[in-house]
Amino acid sequence: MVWIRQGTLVALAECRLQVATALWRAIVLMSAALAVAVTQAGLAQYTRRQIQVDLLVAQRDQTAEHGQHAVNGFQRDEALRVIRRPAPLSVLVGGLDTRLSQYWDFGPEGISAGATVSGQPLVSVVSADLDLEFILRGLIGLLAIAAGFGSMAASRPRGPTKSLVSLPVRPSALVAGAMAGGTVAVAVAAAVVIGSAIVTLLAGDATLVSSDAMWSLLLIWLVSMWYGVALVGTGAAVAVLVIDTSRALAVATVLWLLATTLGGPLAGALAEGISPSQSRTLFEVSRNAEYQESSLRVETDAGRIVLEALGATDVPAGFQLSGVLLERVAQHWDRSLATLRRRLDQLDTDFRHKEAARAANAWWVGVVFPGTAFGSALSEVADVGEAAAHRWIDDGEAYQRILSAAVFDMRTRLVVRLQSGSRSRVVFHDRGPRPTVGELPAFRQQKATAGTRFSDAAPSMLVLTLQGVVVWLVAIVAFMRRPSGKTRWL
Amino acid sequence: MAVLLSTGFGVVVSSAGSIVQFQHVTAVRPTGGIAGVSFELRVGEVYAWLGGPGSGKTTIVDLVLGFAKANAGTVQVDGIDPGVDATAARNTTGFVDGRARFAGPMTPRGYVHLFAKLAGLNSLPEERTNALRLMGLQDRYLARSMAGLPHAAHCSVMLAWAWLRRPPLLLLDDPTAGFDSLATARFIEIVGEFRRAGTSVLLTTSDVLVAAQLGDHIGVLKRGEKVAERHRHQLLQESLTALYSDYVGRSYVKGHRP
Repeated sequence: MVWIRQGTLVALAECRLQVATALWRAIVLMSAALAVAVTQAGLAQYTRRQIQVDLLVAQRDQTAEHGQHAVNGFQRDEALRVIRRPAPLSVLVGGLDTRLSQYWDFGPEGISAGATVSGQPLVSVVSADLDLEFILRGLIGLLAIAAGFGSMAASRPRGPTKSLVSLPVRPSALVAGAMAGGTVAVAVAAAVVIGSAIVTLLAGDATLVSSDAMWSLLLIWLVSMWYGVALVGTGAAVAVLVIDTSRALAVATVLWLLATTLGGPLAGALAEGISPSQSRTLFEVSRNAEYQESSLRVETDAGRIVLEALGATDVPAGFQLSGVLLERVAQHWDRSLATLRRRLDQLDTDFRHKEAARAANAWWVGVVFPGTAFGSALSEVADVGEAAAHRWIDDGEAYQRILSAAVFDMRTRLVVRLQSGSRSRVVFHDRGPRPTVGELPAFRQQKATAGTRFSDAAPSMLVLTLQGVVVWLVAIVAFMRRPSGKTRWL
Repeated sequence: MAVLLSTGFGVVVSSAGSIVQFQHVTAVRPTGGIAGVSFELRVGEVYAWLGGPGSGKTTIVDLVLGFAKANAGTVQVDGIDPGVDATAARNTTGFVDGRARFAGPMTPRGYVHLFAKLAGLNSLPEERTNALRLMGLQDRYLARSMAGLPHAAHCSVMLAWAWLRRPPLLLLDDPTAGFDSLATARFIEIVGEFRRAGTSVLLTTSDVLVAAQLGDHIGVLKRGEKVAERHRHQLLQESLTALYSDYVGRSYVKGHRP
């Protein structure tokens, strides 16, 4: 109890001291101003994206003819297109939202990704990169390291820490309290910055600030505080471990750059080296080519079956499939399509596995740096992270499976390619009515609740927690054991 | 001579004589260590260590507070070895670091209040204010941020805290560095107040006049070694300038004693 009381008193005093520093005020003021600017830029981008989505929806609905459009089942159909609206909090945290396909197209060959927003010229580079996450990661990160450094820099020979430790106070309560105070100061700063963004959001488009969004914003603040804990500990550990002030400042600056800014690209390059990312477009091109080739083979094989059954080299004009022959051709088609579907599914699965392995590698390499772990956690709670991307991909693939079973693998039109010498003739047989878009099952999109988003962010937050625990322990133990200047604190 | 002292903790300290005892103490440090230093601070007296920068004055203070450990010899503070039980040693001492600078926006009142709360000491606001006044802090500084206050005000905060606590031993580490003559005179009066209250004082200073006016015994440190020890009466018969130039500062003329 005494330890907690002493630690709390020191924390409150430290927080007051930190909040009063010119550095704290300057960074908070600058961050809040930037938060307002990037939120406005985010709002403008969000509006443009909504217009694009509305255009795509109108285009799709026109093709679908209000659900009356018949789906032939043997080629990609734009009437089945599923379009993704931008995540509301992408206004604040870009995450992966602009890098995801804007829509999915469905066809017998499989799912095809639409264009991404970030590839379009309308979207400025600034609003894509400079968002609330960047401000919190960079500037609040700087503030956190400075707060940790400041809380312990007092142990320099000219500071009052020696006077404090000479009091009947437990040194561990003193150091932990000082760091806790620094963390509270960072939490206050983050609250001010996020608050500025919320006010701008409310002024720009109040509909974006739903109760669900408020939960996300609360989680964003929570993650920021978690990040602050890790960086306050880092700053404090540097201040305690490196005796020479100028050297300590240099080390703290390098660590800040690594933790908040350079770490991400470095981790990205390393992860790319370990498992290079794959192009979805190239994958789709190669998969579609395989489908076309296989389809052609099935059609040709069907023709061979017909010619062998007839014992002829050609069929007369106006030839129609019927009876046993039709049954055999239909069986051939159904069997071949089932085999082809398994092959296409396998290709999709392999691609997904490679992507998942690459993402996992990138995550493991990235989370070494608090800034990257923070970015990952923040994207998740804003519903624009890896988990949200996976949900979008999973939803698309689930719908593809539904459509494959309902229409693509139950082809209404059988195609028989009759090869006679160098000549090729195609005979069709429509074996049933084509389903309309309205008759097909609707696309279902998973909705992530605040709880889901928090659990999505949990691994990154756990890593931040571990980082925080390690640096705090280092700072506390170093303070207790290692001489600061000429002084041993125990 | 048995002495009974009432402490701020309600503890009566009984001592046959000394509250701080160093016997042939050696403490090795990168700079400012001490070698074979012995001295005794008797209860109710003031022992002043006089020395220049790097002479080992602060090491003596650190050894008393348990911030440093002796490599050889014994250190006793009120019968406690601070190297073994630093917390117990610190409980009997009040410490004023002459180099400490407190940060704003906390005020002198705020700091004394914080220290009192940290130590679990109940004190009324008036008591804290009076203590600060008694320790020489001007009224206009009482509620002002520490950031802009003169050096003497920082010292007053720690002295006021010590006054509230009334520990048996007061450690003053170079407290008058940067003081003007008025502040120094006031400081000498303040130490007198502590002394009248029965507090023993261990002072380190590079100011020969402060040492001469406050110390019952004055030890002189040079490069970590005790090179002289005087009783106040002996000191008054010596040339302070000579003492300073011989042991603390540089001679006026190299190789020539004025």
